[in-house]
Amino acid sequence: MAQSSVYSLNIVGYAIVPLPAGYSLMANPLSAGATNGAAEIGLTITGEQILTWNGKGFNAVLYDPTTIGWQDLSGNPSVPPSLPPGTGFFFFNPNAATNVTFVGQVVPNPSSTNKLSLPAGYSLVGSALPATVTNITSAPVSLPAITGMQVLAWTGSGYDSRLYDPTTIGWQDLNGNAKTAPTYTIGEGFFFFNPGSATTWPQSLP
Amino acid sequence: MKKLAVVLCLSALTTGAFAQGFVNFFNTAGTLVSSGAAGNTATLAAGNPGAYYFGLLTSASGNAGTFTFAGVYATNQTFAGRFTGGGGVTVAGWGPGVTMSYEVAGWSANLGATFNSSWLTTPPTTPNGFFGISGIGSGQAGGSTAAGSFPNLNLFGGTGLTSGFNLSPTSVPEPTSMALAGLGAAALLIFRRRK
Repeated sequence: MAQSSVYSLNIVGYAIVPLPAGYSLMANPLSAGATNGAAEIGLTITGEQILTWNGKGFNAVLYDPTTIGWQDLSGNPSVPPSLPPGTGFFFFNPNAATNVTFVGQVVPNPSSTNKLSLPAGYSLVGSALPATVTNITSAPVSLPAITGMQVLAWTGSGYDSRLYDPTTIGWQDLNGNAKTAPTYTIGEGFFFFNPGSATTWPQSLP
Repeated sequence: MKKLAVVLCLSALTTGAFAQGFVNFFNTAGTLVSSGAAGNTATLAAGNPGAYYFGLLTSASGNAGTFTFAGVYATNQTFAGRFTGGGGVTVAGWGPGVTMSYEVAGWSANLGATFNSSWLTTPPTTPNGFFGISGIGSGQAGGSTAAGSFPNLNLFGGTGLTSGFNLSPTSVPEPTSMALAGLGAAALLIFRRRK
């Protein structure tokens, strides 16, 4: 019996992202097809913490195999969160600086579009497409330019906030001083402030 | 060693107790401020910064009558309908991660540069002035806590206040003076007809 060839249009790759000591704001740039944070990140460090945003605050889990493994910060058994591409999260590295290697499939597939939800207010996100750009609204990252939106990048100790308002001076800090558009680096997470009603962040492969 | 630990604990406690949260005290393109009498309002004109002042009012409960002036000011910008008191403003008594209710009061500069708390119960009556209070918003202040580093609360836009507000004239003609003016006009008409 003749068999037809099966082709996969999936693009698979890896990305090495620096992981300094302490808190980093990250987003998984590749889909490992797994359902939990530990597998998505491909790295487990004793004492690590993963903080995800629930719209009002953070849900934190801690990994400590010397006690009960994954647990919340009160020591109750827990599971690591799902971290699909596009989901931003804080990662606490209790050790010296190292790297995280993300491995997996590029989302979206060629000829398809990924739509990430951007609710009103703050969301913790990252580019679902693995890319680095000098202007976060440029392709292929293509963050939608919404009047009044804010992009908050983590500096290691606080947020570098940039507000976009073409009705005044365009990109600016929160005190109205002109700034350049935020950059975006692969694997980076950031807080996005949506001043209007819920919308989406569509991304397509070039 | 024990003494050092006690000092460190006390230090952490005091830091936590007096930690102040951060809010972004400015409006957005979708929440402009206007002025004028009902039915005749217009967005605050561009190119006239400092013509209006704004003050932040806060309340733990959000109930009417419980809002107090938080001691934080803003002024209108050169852009139409916009004001700012700055980003990352600290508000006394509003800790990071703590949810409170808030309002913003606005008034014209001829009423003075400082907020008068009596305006909360009796709006000002200064002639040729404007005064108004926004709707009630609610949110948690930003800042670092043991539970993470919260982004600044945006008082306007997103999950904050989603509409602007109007500053109404502070000197409204009383009904008696309106009636007198009407009588005067009628008398003038009669006088002209007779002539």
